Amino acid sequence: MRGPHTPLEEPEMSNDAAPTVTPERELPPVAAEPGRGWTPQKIALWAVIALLGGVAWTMLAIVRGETVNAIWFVFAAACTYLIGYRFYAKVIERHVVRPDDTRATPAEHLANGKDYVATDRRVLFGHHFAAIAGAGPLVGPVLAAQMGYLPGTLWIIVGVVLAGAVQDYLVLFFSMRRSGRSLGQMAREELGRIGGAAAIVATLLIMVIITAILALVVVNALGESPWGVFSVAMTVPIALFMGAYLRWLRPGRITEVSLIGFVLLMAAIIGGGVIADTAWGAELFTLDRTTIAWGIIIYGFIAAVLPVWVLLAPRDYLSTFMKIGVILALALAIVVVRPEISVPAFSEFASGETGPVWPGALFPFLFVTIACGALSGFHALIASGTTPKMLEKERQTRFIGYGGMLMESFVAIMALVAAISIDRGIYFAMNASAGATGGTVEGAVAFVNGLGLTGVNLTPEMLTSTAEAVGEESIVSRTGGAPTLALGLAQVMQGFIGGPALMSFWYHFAIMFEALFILTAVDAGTRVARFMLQDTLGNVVPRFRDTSWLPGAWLCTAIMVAAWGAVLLMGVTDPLGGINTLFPLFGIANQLLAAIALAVVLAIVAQRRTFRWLWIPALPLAFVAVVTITASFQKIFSPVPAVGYWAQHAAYRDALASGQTSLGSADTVEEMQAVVRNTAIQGTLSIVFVVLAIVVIITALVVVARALRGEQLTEHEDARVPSRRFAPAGLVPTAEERELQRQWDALPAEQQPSRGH
Amino acid sequence: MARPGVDVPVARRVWRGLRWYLHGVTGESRYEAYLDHERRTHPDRTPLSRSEFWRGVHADQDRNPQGRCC
Repeated sequence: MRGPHTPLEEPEMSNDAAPTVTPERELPPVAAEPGRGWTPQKIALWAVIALLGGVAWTMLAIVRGETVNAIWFVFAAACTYLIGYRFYAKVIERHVVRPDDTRATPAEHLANGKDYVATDRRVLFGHHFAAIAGAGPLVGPVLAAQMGYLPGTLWIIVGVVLAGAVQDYLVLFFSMRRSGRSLGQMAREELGRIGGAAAIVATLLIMVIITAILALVVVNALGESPWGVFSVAMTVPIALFMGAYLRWLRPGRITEVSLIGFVLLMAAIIGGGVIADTAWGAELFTLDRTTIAWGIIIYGFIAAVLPVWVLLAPRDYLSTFMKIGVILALALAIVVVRPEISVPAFSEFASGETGPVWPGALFPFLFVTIACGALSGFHALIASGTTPKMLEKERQTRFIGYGGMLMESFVAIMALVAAISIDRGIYFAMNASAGATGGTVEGAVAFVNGLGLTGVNLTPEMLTSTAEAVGEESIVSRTGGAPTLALGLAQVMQGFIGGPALMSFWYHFAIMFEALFILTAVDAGTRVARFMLQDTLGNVVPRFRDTSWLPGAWLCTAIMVAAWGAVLLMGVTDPLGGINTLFPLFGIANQLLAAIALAVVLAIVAQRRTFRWLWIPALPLAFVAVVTITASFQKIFSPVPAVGYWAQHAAYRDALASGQTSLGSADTVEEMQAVVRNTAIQGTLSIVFVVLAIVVIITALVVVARALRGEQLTEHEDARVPSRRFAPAGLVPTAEERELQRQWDALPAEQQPSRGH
Repeated sequence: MARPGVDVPVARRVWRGLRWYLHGVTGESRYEAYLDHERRTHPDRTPLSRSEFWRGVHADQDRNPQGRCC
């Protein structure tokens, strides 16, 4: 739909930041001098941080007694992040990024009062963090807990410092130097036509897979749960009300409407508990997974064709609020409650490849299971979206890009702590597929106790009483990670606020919290994918380029919804358990996107001729390339049916050919045929992903080789415009920055730079 | 300017700071930023009303969708 014509849309508006008032006096400097370096106090502070971090890691990795206190996870993470931020990110800043604060950012030289708006760094940090934090860092670590706590903890903390935060930081900076261009546009410019096209097709496919698997997580959390279905369904009328309120009643009052929405959301959660207890409510809202999947598919189509103000924008406001609130509450609860963790550092499944939660060996599959939280390719799309257009000064990219990702990693650590604070027997009963447990309490008890895990003695009472405490019919085989996290979070939170009486409230609060992000991601992902498809089709039929042409928009939305909807239904009806087989594909897709982003960054760094420091992006690229290519190859070529899609495919095809009518957890010929079909699709997708990623990486390496040979490559950066404003770089200003800030504050109001209020 | 001042009591400063931060993160203060931009660079023309501005922002989001993170 077309908005009213606004003066903001006029093209000549793009370069109008020069103040109309002629400066009456010289402006103070726009960049601060470097700090005075090391003082004894600073050395002492960093020594304490290093020591505390060292003690925490010793407790986690070496001492690991009978139980480990959760507080050590918090200290190990926080101290490592601080050291990574202060030292490694500084090295990257000095040698790779080389920001120049005398140079205007796009927010300054393209200022238009709308999307290019210089924003206070602390506000922008919150904005960027809310944009990158989603359901991924909450789900991945939960599933990875199958291997024990240490592999996941190491990868989340070390991975973010050396890989994830580096990717986010570099993509943010280079996109900022290119007026906030998107990853796809940068790939086309830097890697040429083939690499660029491969990157765009890969992004489109990845979007489809990620949308489908996120939706699957919601379906699994809501299946057979009348309480969950009611409260999540209520988010739709709440969002509609908020949209109408902002459109007609009080335009632009976002904070106010978010608060109202939050109160309504809490009412929906409480109301869900009441309604699920009534006979009619239980009957009306107990839906099987296939029905819920269809509900989400229909919702996804409608939400994606409606104007954003109706559903998407209000949902966004709600989830920003929930995200920041819940994460702060969880951090506080973990510090206050300090649960004792009895999960072993390495579990019995760490050395094998037949774990019940997801199949495959620790290497490479742990590194694709925990995607977000350590390294997330999706962030490259956000870091090349709105954030680069709002940066006030170039040197702030370290705080926003690198620092923002450290925060996300901290969320992943907290999710891991919440998941491992629940009993291990319950953990496996919840996360083993229904094929293994039979979906019954007795089946789950027999299966889990049969795993031979030390210290695990699951009783039927444990499962029934836990299910009752969280207000669910059953907690057996609630795969997907979200219910496990919700249970862990409920357990931690009830120790902090409310006690056992509030356990079921916290459980459904956590489910709602995840469903809210995921449904927004589904809606937004469908829109983005539709635009990408329209752009591609536009090369053949130019009419499709016009995104306001309704038949084209509807057709392309329908195609994209059908694509992810088919994968979703495949997962929901999969006799082998859905999440178990599909989650590796989700992780591989996300990590391949990271490989693409890092390949683009590597090509840019090489073109800037900083060859000595090329290893900084090359290190994570090499690691993620090895991980994802190995994982893909195992998914394609492994002879173990649980691991290799094609091995599974062949096993079931042969069984059908020899006239068998059941195999493994597939009990009928139809189910066996479904396995044959599903594995063929999953196997084909694995091949397509890995081929596209290899093409992108090779084209990037060609660019690097050309730069190394001394070839002069085209410069794609914006021309340098001198800056006329100042702001500190980090969260806490240095003494030099404070002094400079005083000089700027002393200027008359009309000479002060305008800042997103 | 909704930025925290200096000569006001602590409670009010905290409240103002919180308000300023929430309005920033939710995006509510984008309209004020726009007004400020218009006042400085185009003092000659009438800026959009709050309602018109937000309609424009949403229309813009319809044309340039942004993904959400997983």
